[in-house]
Amino acid sequence: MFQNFKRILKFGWQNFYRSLGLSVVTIVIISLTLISISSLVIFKILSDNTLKAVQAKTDVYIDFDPNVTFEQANQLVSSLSEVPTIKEVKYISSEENLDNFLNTYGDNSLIAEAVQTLDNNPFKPSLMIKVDDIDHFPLILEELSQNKYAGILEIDDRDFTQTKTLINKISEYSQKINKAGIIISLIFILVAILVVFNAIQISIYSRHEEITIMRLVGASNQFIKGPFFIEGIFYSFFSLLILLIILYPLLVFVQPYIDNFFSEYATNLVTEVSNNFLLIFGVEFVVAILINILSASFAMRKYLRK
Amino acid sequence: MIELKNISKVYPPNVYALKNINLEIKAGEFVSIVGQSGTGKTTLTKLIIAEEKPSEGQIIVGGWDITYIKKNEIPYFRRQIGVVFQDFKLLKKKTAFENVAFAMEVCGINNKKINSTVVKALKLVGLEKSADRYPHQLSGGEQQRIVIARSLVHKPKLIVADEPTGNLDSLNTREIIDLLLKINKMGTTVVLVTHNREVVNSLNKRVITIDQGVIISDQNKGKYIL
Repeated sequence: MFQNFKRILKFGWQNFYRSLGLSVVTIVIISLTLISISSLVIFKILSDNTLKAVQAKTDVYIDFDPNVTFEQANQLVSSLSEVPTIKEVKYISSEENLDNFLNTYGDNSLIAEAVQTLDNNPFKPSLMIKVDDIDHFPLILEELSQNKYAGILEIDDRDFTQTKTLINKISEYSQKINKAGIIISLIFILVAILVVFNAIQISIYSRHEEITIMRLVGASNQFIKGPFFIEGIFYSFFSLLILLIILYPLLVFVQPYIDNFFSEYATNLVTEVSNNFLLIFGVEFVVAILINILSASFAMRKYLRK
Repeated sequence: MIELKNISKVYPPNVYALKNINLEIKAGEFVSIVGQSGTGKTTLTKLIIAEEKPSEGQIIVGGWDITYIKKNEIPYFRRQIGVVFQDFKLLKKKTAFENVAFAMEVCGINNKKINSTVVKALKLVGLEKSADRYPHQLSGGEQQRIVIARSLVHKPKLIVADEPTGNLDSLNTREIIDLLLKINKMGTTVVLVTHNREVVNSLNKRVITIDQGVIISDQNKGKYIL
């Protein structure tokens, strides 16, 4: 059994290196397919992380009516804490709001002077709400717009709407790019299947005599077909190796551009890809193997029928 | 050893390569199957080695009914017979030793057994000193002897030789026929398919003559009658 496997491996390797030119072309095509799939996966990671980051930083501030009592505000906060779609809810006093404002814009002397000239704190106490999914905001805002809260809250959902528009835009672009990526990947997969089919077909043709002799002397079908599958596994392995050699330096190269473009929402691609190494490259290796098995099976069904 | 019962082989649209063949070859026999080109000799060989299936009838080889043999059984069946062809079918990039060993390698036999068997087979065909030579470094007769050595490594009970001397001069032809006789003397059934009149007449063994897909003569100590 092991002896047989060793020999199938040996014959598969011989198939691979005896037609090296053909093997190189096949590997290049499979590598291009894997690179296109990787680009798609990386883009998905990037867009998902950006969406998560934007959502995580989205919090809505709803002003309380100036006449609201502390008890009324606390009661509302505790009842909102019970709502499962709300991640965090907090009462922010008018003093805290002023401090936050100065912390953010205090460096601007004009703004700081303008605030100092005012006799009273211009900020009202407010309610800060964070959610896991920004899609939950409309329902929450609708709930808070009911008459029972009319005397307590002053709802202005402008901030939320701006963020929602940004998220929708990112989502829309990422979906479009994903679709294009899937189409490009499918085209590459199809081309790869045809190229591998052709390579195995040529390999079968060039070994026609050997296969005839194998049949005559009683080699099992498994033994005759095995080396072609092994040849396909070599294609997959070397394609994946090329992908790794190209991908990591490429990620390091594009990282500054990603940082620059996404600024605070940027994702460290090398870390992300490394964290998902097995998932990404395991899936890609499986895709490469499937391409090879599929093509080899077609080629063998056509040329090794007897 | 070989039983053919009412065998016919029809190729589309409706061409009979063999028609209603009934034949029995006993173990240990040396049988020549003769006939002119295109009379169905090679089709008969292909049926005996299970490379083709009959359109009608039943074939039993070595006690194995191969009429409807399954694809996955064919390799095991082929290991019980040795096949020799006119065009040698040797691998050019392998030495004589490697060519003979190849037949055992692809059947999963271990290296130790391969080494000892190949040496013996090469010795039997008188080519033990040419083990490291490549086919292009050997004469036609020597190449055919390598093929015979390869066909012997599985210790077959039957050797089917389809025009083994077709590409050889008279001297090499004689050597190959003598070798087949020697193998037959050792107990192996030999089926020699040929259209070489001199060879057949010199053997003084059973001769089956085929013409247009039909057996027209079957003589125990026969001659080439066409």
